[in-house]
Amino acid sequence: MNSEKGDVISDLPDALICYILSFLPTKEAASVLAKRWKHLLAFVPNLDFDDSSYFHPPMKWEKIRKNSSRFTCFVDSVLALQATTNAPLNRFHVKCRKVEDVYYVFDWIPKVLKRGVLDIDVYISMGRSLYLCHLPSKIFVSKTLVRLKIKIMDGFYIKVKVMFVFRNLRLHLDNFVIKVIMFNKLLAGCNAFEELVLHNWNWHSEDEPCSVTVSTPTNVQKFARR
Amino acid sequence: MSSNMIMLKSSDGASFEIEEAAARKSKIIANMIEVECVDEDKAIPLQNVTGNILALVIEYCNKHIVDDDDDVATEEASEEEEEAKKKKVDDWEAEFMNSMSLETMFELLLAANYLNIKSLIDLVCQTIANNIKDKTPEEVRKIFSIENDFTPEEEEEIRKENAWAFG
Repeated sequence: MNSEKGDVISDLPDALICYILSFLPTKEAASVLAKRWKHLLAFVPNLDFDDSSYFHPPMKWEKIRKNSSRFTCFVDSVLALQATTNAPLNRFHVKCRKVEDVYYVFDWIPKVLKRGVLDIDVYISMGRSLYLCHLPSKIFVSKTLVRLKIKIMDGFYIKVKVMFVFRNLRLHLDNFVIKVIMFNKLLAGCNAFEELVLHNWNWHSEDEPCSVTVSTPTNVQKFARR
Repeated sequence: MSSNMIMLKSSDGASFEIEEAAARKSKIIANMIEVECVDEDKAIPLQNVTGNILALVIEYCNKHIVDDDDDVATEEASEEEEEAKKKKVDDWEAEFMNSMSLETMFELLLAANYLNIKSLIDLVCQTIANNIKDKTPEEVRKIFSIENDFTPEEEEEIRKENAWAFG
């Protein structure tokens, strides 16, 4: 594809260029093509981070650790850059294959919730500090969040502290540890969900074995368990 | 489905007749219809859209109005049917976008933005993004004829600043 005339893309208003960039992995959207593009990243409404390109070709463990921290620094810088604007954020998707510490990733969630994010999707295939990681309770009180999907291959801990105030949330949780009492709280708030999908959970080790009765309200479209 | 027809007039004076249901894909036109400022005998003037671009917009709207109706009518359609239908639309959209030059694509994006047709904005932006994906900044500049207005020193500075972005 070739254009015959001059700089066609630069004739577009900033908002449209930012919107085009929001269809790209954030890493690519961050590349600077000309002076005008330098500040556009601050206004890109969809963020999509994936650390896979940081670990090719196969490398030694020290290098992996170094690149993993480069990745988290990159996400931190983009969030910090965007936080300086009042631009709305719609989507925050993160895929981490090798994150140094899951805590970093969970620390991003309240930050994007503060920006009024609609859609969060987090996938972590390997990381540390799992049992220290609590699903941020702010997700249960967000007024904007419509979809939250978290899958951590090594599992994470869910603590439900607050009552649900939202409606319309589509919540997908995969591979997590939960106390029976918290699980019951989660189900008690079932009506607040548009969709609730739970996969692969384990009971917290402090819990005595007990039976759990699950009944699903009609508006919960899917309910799955291991 | 309403079979009311309305007239649209491009910036270069070409007139197009379009079903109201299709025209409503544009939020701007839908609003005009809501507040009843559309006179049946008069064409709606669209000062920012040329005839050749408006023809493309109308082609898109006509194609998609059918799909929207189907959504309502076949709520109980099986998943396979849904998928087959989605594939048909995707194929049509791919063909539609393939048929135009990059420059036309940008003009279409501006028109979709002006007329506020969300799904068309998404389609064009996604297609343009696909042209950028996995390419070096230099390649992207070439495709879009973007002038690199940095001095080599500035560019080196930016490369350093952005080192975190390039793993």
